[in-house]
Amino acid sequence: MMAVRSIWAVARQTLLECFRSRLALALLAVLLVIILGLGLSMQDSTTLKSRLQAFLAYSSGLTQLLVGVATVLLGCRAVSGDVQNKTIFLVASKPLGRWHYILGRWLGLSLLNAVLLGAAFLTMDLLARHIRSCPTETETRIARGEQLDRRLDLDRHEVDNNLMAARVARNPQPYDLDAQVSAELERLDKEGGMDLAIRYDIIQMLQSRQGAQKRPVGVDDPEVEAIYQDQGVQASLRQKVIEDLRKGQQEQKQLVAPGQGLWLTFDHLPPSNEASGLELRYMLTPARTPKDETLRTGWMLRDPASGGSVPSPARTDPVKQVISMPLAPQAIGPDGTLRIQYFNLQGDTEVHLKSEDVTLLYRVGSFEGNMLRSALLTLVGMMFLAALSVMFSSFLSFPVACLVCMVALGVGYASDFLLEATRLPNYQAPQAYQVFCLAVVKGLLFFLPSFNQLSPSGRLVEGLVVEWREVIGQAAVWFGRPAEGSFWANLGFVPEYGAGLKMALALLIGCIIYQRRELAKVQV
Amino acid sequence: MANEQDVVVGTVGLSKTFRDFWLREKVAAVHDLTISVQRGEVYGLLGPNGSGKSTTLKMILGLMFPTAGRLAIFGKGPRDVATKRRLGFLPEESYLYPFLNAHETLDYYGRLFHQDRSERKRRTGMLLDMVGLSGAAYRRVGEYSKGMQRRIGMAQALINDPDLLILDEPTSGMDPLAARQFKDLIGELARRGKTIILSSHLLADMEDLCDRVAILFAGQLRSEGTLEELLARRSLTQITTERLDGDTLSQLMAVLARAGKEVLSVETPKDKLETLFLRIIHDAQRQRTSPQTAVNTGQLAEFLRATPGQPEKQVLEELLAPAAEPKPETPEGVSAQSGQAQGAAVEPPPAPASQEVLAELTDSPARQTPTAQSASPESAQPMQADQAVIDELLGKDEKNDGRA
Repeated sequence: MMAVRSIWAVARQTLLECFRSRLALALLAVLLVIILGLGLSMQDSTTLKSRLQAFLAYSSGLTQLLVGVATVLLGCRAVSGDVQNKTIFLVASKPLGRWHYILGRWLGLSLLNAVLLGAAFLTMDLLARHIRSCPTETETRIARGEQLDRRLDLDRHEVDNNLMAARVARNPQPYDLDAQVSAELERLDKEGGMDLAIRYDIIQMLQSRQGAQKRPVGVDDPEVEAIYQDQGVQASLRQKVIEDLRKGQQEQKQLVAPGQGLWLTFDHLPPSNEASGLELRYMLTPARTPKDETLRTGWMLRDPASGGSVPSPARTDPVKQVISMPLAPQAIGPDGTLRIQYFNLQGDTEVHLKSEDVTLLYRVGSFEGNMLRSALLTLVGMMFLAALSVMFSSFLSFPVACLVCMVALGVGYASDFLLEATRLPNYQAPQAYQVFCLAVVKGLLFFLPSFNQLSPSGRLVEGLVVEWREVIGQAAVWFGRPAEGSFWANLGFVPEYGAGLKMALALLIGCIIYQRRELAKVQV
Repeated sequence: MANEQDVVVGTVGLSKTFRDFWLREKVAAVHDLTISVQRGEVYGLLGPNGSGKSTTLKMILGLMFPTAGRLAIFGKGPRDVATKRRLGFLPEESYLYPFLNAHETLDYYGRLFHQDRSERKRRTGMLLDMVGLSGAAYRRVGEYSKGMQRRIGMAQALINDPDLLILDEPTSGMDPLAARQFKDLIGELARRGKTIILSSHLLADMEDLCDRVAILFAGQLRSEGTLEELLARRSLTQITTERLDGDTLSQLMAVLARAGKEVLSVETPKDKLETLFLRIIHDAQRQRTSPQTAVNTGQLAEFLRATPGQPEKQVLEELLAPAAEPKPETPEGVSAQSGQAQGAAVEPPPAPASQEVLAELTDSPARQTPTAQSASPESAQPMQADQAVIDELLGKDEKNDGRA
């Protein structure tokens, strides 16, 4: 209890300090002015939907940026400022455990974040409602006296039902390709194709290393043979061949010939009476683009009541563009499954319908609730940033701590790119520097969360839900589904953790360092 | 040998060596320091700049870690959180949060002692009154003058009614009036039984306040003892009397010459500049006070008193009364001033209580006081050797001459 009172005393002081220093107030003022400016000035967009999307994208992005900067600046000054100004002399002479002080500083910054984000998201919500209340082009024309049907106002429909909502997006079930892949693998092994595929991969690798001075390399080349004999390389390349096979099978499955159809299955859907705003989104990629850049498309829903199929009218869809098509909730069966078949009605080309290009969306909550969860998700990220800056501030000076935090922030945002950039080659033994780079990146990413995952901007713009499970999951440890063949597959679960655990780790390190450091400097 | 229970701060072989980036020894700020501060005493760390006073205090506070040696406060390590509940600290500069006002400052430090709201409010009010900042309680500390900052610094050090008060250069940067008030306050706290460790290079402060002093130089303890032990000049005698005319003075010199004593100097005593300054400011304060600056009430905060509820004497009033109404100084008066007003001095007197001085001069038994300032039997012996001269000065010679 005493610890709680100590921590609260420091947290309260930190909050007061942040506001009295005027930096937080200035940033809050700038933030609100920008959000208000964005909300009230975006008149040029062609549709209400795009205006609202632009507002949500810019305002949520700016909120994260400015609150992030405020957190880093104030957090990095929190401890190092006290040490530098020697105000820590008085604090440390009071009955206050050093870890109380660190936790108090972090809690104060987190409360500041909550205040800033609360104000920003509340303003965003109010302005989003204001934009929603603005007339669409159809409504303007109706107001001018034109005879138009309000029910055909797609812009209004999109804004009210899709954007100002919280919807879940589901991809179709993956195809079961194991049987085909196994059969193909067996054939390759029997006919010696696997060896050949591996040797070709090695040749490809050798030629890529030779650069411009390529020399002809055959499958029997001694250099190829030497690499081939390396068991590690062979196993790695075999795995690559299997992945390629699976990819090939997948692509073949998703390639729809003229006049042919492809079934897509969505499962784990809510009951039909609870699913509103059901919408299918897809993007078609033709093998050969028609001259008019459109494709004739047909869709057929399976009726769960009768077991038969219900065709929808044929459509003409533009190529490589996301198409939206509303579906009736009755298409969801009692088992929570929806099946729909795509037909390629374009007579002259095959069409690629990739799983990741097809999404089924349905409404699960309100826009306001989604804003709240978005704010909380952002808050989790900012709380991590506060922990990180307090940690660095516990042993680095203000400018150095700021610099390190900014770098960490960049690494957190670029985590996917960094992992891809440092991926080890699978066709040869990795060089020492490559292993080192990968270890560094993995070490950093073990410590840093992916800030992209903690950013709700993309989902707000698409009207996609930020789930409670995700918010809580980011703040805690949970159990996920393990990857096949991994160590965790034997146990049936894999422990996963979000920013919360990393936050605790940062604070623990900060407390340990601060506990062991001297707070006064040499003055002799 | 002091009772171990009474040792508030004890160090044994305490050392602090600063190293450079390559861990090479750079400087020994404190070397092999062994001191023991007893309960209820005012202990001074005296030394020039860079002598290791502040480093010692920082180690006592747990802000620095000793390189070698042992250190205990109330029998525990310096970083023990519970120990810090009994400790008050005033650093050499008042390192306060400039964005807080005085009230918020004290409230914050009160919170760190887990005081409840009503207690914090009570103590904050009393302390602000005590240090004379009630009128400026809601001004930001960053706008305070240095003297006002020292006052609020002192108030925060007392928020928990500490058993041990550590004061680093408490009067630095203060005007003479404020410094005097501070010294009075410290003296009053000492009388209340607080243990006080005082670090300063201001000799007058140490002389006024300390029971025992450790003199440091280059990180090492050069001398330690009570002021009596350190300051007494047993080979000299000082007599303070009403102004003497030329004849009397000649007779006096003759007596001394007959006794074979050399007169080193004969001077007319002067007021100390501090006394004059205090008198002028005190008069001015009586006429007008500005509520927005520091105005000391001279009243000790109730929670710091031994018996809560009883009003304290105005410390400042008490101090200034003799200065405001000058009158011929008796030997008691001189010694009560502890060196502020020097008598017609052959040598400035040491600081023992006036009764002790008289006892020594008249060869009556010295009053034994429990303080560390009481003279030891050995130190009293040289005074007996001068008895004949004193007798002569007091008129015995005349009597004898008359009989003759």
